[in-house]
Amino acid sequence: MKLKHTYSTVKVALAKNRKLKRAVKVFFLFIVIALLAPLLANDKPLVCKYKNTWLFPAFSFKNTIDLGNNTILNYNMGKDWKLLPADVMFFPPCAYSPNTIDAENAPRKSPFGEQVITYENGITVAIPFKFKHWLGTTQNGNDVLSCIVHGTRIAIGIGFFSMLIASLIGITLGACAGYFTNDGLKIGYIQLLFLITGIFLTYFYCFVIRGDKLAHAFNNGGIWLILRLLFLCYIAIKTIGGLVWIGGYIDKKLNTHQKLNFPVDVLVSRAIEILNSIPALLLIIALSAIAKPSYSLLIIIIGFLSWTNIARLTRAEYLKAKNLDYVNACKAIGMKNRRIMIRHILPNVLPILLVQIVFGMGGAVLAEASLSFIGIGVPVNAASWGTLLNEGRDHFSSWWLVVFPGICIFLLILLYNTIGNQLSKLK
Amino acid sequence: MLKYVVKRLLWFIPTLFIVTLLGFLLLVYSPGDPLDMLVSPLTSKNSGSNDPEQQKTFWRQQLGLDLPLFYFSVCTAAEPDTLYKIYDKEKLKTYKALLHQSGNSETVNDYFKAIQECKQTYEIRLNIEKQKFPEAYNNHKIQLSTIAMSFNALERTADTTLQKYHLHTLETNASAFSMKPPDIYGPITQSIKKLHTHSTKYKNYIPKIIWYGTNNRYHHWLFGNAQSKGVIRGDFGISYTKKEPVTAIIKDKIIWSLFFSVLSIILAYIISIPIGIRLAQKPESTTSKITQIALFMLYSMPSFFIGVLLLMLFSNPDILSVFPPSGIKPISGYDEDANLFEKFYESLPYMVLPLICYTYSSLAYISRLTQTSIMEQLPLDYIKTAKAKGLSEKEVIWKHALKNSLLPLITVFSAVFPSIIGGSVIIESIFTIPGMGLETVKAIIAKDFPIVIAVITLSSILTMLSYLIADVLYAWADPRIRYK
Repeated sequence: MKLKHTYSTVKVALAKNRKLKRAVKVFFLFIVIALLAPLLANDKPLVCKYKNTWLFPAFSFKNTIDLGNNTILNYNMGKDWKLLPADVMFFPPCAYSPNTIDAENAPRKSPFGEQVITYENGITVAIPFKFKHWLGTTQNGNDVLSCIVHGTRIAIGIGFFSMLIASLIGITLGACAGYFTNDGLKIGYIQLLFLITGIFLTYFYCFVIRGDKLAHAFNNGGIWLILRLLFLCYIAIKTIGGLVWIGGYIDKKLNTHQKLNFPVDVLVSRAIEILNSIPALLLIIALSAIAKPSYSLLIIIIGFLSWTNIARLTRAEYLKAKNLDYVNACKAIGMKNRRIMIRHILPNVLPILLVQIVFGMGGAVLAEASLSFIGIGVPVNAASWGTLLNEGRDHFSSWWLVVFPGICIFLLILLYNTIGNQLSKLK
Repeated sequence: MLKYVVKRLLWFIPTLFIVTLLGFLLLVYSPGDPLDMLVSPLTSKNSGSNDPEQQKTFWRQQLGLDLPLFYFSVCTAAEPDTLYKIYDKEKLKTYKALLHQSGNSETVNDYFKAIQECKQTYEIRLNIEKQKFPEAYNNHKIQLSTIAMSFNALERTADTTLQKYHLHTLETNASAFSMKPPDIYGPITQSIKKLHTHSTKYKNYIPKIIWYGTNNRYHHWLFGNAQSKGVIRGDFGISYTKKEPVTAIIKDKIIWSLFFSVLSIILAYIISIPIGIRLAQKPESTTSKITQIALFMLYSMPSFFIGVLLLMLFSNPDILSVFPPSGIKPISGYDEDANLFEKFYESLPYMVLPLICYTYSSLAYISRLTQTSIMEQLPLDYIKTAKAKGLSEKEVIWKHALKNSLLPLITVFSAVFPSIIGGSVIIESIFTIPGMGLETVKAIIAKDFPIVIAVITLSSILTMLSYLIADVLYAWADPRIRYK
């Protein structure tokens, strides 16, 4: 696929539109924060010289390190790193991890209030500049800034991956519906038979046999769930495709000229209509309450429910494109449908679809934040912006629990909306 | 037109079928056992008994849990036709795992039968023991409970080493009662061996379709039976936690949700159409540019953020305590002889903040659309004619331009309404409005899924109705549009 075309279109757009350029820059800042979160907010120091050894705890995956002389340093000591009598100690800008509990500043310390730290000799002093909770603490004593920095990962990750799934489904279905419409795809009787058996067999071999293992995977979550599901769907589609091909071959050999119209457009449009008439947020809430909450499950649910807008737009664009001259030219030189759809139409359509995908990302972020705000379907103790807001709604006096995460959600959604808006103006 | 409406109404059927299917799947695969929730320590008025086991059997029959799930099921050839009769989820899991090991349902049945037989022989022996040596019997209470637990555990494990372990604990504990284990537990060990010797594993890879007919859970749930009227006649079953019909619970909740969504849509139109017109009249002025930016920012604000901020500012004793923080009417309730208007007046302070929350996000959307559609109309000839005729600017826009730009505004209605229904989950739980959204959140936390399904089905019906209304209004606004 020629991504180059899409890339160059977006590049030209960026050069032309100042607003878009600015928004994309801020968005990249968010991405950088998300990627570097463990280096920006971590209770382990970045560099540390202890007993004449240089250590890089924040970059290390080990739990303990042997320094010789019977001294073993535990890397997971949390807040105690700050009390370690080291020669050189260089902390990240926010010296707390989201799960570090600072019991001394526990019940919701204000950013401007008095924060304290007790050293090993028992003296309690006002917290030094570098260990300050810049945005205050939560009920348990977690650092709000650290939670916000790590929450960026969740917000951006959910938006990105769920839209990846949604655009895979939406573009495929929409393209088929728009390109073939109701009479473009002819299918022989034996082919139809093979299609139905194919669907049945792949359903059986992919999802029924060892269905309990799949259910187990759904309960455990993790990146493997997404990969597994995508792999199973890929295998299923490939198998069905193969069987349909064999059916078509047999049809050809038997010279059966009667062919049925396969109504792709009707099927896809009905599916979109049905999915649109169920309130998405309600369905996401209900579905995510079934299995054990995890972010990968949430990504899958949001992805599988929000492809309708992308599919509708893709369908419309393919409907327009299929009568254009370049497509007719492709057909005239005997190109296969799939090649025309993927290599020739899609690059022209993708910049327009990008608008919808960007809006969808905003929607996914909003859905995740809403879910964690009401506390359903998200893992407990996760550092998410919505979770912080949820805590803030019980304690109105702690304004920092409401204002900062709220502004973050607002900013990210505003960014997505601005980028989408400006991209849509370029047509 | 009537034909079109009827046709659209007919299209509701497949959609509703899918929605109910989804709801039913939710009901079946939801976590937690409904029987455990329905059993109460007190004598239940429904089952007329206070024995938990009797209550469980009563509810199992009442809810039809002993029936097959669906009209048909796709399974492996190894599975027996009556697998649905195993209700215990853990036991079913074990059964399937054992079936995967052997592929022969008879041997797996034998395994479970052997455990039951052993339990019985063991109980008979124990009774003899009890009569012979009552003191020794009373001294070994711990062993007794361990034995019972081991039997239970054997029914719930498919792992060979774990089975061996449980058999071993049985042996050691039973020796306290001067019983020789091998002849009691012999059948179990034999059946475990048989699982592997008589295995027909190939059956696990052959598909099979079983047809159950209409006597299944889904059919009874959808079309009703002797106990319930069925979802199709508006009976969503019994709430697990409240033990009341769901319909009765939802009935007085839906009014508040509908009230707020309709009122907020009306408010949004009333506020944003004048804004949109003003924006269209002077699109380049500074005020309209600022308004546009402000509206766009408001549009990006998540409703829960606005809700919490509003509560923090206006119903916080530390800052401003203007509006009550939660609820929809005074805690003491309305006066008994209050009429509807007085009730409304009393509830007004409670409604201000939620209404702001419901309305603000659609403001940007609707006013933007009004602006663009009116700006499209302004350069047209008929507007020039109207102006030349001597009509004032106001009359031209409100009477002529607005009428012709109504079309896109009506489309918005069908886009805004579903989002308001979905958004009610959040806003209602912030302001504790006793509507459908709050009920859903409560029900999900309590794992009371019949209510959740009722809410989802009702909301999708409302959404579909809103689409239909939008389409009909379309035809009303533009007589050129004719539906066939």
